[in-house]
Amino acid sequence: MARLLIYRGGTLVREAELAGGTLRLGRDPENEIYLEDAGKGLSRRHAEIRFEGGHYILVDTQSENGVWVAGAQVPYVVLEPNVVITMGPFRAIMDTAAPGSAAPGTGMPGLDQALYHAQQAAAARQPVPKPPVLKPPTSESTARTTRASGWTAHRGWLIGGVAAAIIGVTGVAASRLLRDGSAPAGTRTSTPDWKAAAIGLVEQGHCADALAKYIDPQLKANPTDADALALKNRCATPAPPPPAAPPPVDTALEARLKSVADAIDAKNCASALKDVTSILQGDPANARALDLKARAQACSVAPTSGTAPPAAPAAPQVAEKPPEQGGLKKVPGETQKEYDARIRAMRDRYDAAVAFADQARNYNRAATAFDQIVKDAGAHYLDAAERRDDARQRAKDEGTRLFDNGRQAAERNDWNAAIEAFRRAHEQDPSLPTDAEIERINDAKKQAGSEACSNGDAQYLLKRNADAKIWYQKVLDLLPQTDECYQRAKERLAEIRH
Amino acid sequence: MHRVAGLVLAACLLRPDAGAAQGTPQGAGQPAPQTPAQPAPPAAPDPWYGRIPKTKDFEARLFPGAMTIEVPKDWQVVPGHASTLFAAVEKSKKNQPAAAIVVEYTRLPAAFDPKIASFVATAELSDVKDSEPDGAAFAQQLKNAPDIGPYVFIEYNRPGLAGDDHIVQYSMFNGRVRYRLVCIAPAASVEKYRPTFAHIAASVKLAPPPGSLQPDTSRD
Repeated sequence: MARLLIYRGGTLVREAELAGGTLRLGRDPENEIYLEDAGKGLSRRHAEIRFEGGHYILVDTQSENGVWVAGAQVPYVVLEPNVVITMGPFRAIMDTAAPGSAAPGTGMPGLDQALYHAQQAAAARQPVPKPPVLKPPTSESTARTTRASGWTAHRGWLIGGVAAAIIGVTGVAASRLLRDGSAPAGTRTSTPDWKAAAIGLVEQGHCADALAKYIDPQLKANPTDADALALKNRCATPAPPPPAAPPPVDTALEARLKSVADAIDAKNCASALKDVTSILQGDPANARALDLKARAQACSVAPTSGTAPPAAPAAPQVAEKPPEQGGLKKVPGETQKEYDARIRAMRDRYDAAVAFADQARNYNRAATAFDQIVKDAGAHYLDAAERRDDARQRAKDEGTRLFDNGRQAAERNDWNAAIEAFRRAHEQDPSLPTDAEIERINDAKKQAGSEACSNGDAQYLLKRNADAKIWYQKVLDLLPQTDECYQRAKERLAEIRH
Repeated sequence: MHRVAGLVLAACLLRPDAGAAQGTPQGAGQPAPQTPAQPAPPAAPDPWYGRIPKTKDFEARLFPGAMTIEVPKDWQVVPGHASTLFAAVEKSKKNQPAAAIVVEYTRLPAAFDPKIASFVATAELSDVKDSEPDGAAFAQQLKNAPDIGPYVFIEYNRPGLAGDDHIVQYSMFNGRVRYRLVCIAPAASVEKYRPTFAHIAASVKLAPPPGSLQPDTSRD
């Protein structure tokens, strides 16, 4: 049985068995693969895993933060043992116990089954090799690493992915040895080493190094080496433009945020403010960090006795305008330090609101944030009022666009996509009648599920198992797990596969 | 047979004209709109299901545990094997096209549920089409009969030994068993055999499914 291993940081949080049907993945407990994520880096309906053409395919179901592979956002990805997929704070990898993505439990007769078991045994005997030595970032890659602000945090899963890939490679090599009697010339002794090292470099974005040191020499020795060709193709794919969505929340960030919260609780306000400001420089739209910053500032300026004086604040990123040009005015009785802190806090709020609009494209949230800024700082604070009006208009336009998308998806019976589109439309423009649409879709979905159930039952009754399988898979897509037919469909699908 | 009697009673309560075999075209699951002020028109007799007066020309055959069925006395009954219960063939002059019936028996993985009858009818047609790639002019109806409950009626043409044959198939369900009564006649002379096939189909009485109550013979 193929499995998907899901990690959060270095911790395995979920093993999902891939049994051939469609599995939904996300924060919503109704998903077959339900993952808790308080940080909401993972959408409620983030992705689907489908079994098509003998392969498992993970499809992004219009999630907020997307599905990422090797630093690129992808609409879908074919699950393979050496592919590490990032979704919010989670990393997923196909279990190497299931090479390729065909489920071994689905009847591997004769030689194939023997090869499979031999491969398992080979993988079990093979000591897990050390991950390749990761070179310190070169000057060329420093900027990229800094922008990603997560290499250290990502190293754990990358190493895990590389190690998993090595096991997969050795397993495959073992099966080739059994099948062919010998390994390909030139690869007999070095196959795991070159590939592991090459994957390590490719994953880091050092394609030139990987090609020069490992992939091209490998292809010279064996021009038909599928692994080398695949890696070369991967390097040949042009690098995608910088992602529009903010980077997914990771455990290191969460730890830093928790540390800030603890510092505020312990009244170490200056330290907390410094840390949270640093976090916001990397992720200006992080709502939790903004809350913590407000708390830290309140804590810093509170006239408490016995607390440490606030640390000198970092200089604002952009020079603040003077009061006569829309900057904040000093209020009577306010010290210069308090005034500076207020200027910085307001500027952070402004920057965060800009990020909501420009990066997260959550115009409604941006409009609300700008509106609050206008209320707190006055209508002439920077260009907050203009940006608020612009965000309001964009929220309406985006809401209307998503609403139309939802209706189109509903028309082609793509219920889940429709619900997701309506949910996002509601986020942008809460005045849109999305509740009624979602209710209508849920009714239609239930009816379609019931029809699929009857069709599945009829096909199963007449032993038309191929058709029964298709209908029962639709049942799993459309009906809730609590439905009586859902359970029956699940049992009969397992029976049909068996 | 209590179960069958219950089905008949339910059918009578739901459809006042259910005494005769009723046809439900494919996909017509919705009840037909009725005008309450006018009495329902009498149901037209089903040309493919109904007894004929000359029952002396037929002989009842009993297949213990399965069914009773009447076949023409002058037809040759041929034993079957595996999923074929039996066949009956019209005696004819050498090389002359003749009619035949075949009764098949299939054990199902689950009990037939009348609630999904219309879906089963669609699946049954697909099944027949799959096994008759040279078939043409397929038609299917879900019908209901007092003795056998809902059954699937399928007819089509296929190339035969001497020109096209016309096939008429009655798929009947009894718990976890499906019976198929397949009637075959030369397409050119099918009208001649239609009353015979209709009588054979209407004469079928299915044995109660294993474990059910004893048959209710009060209506026989």
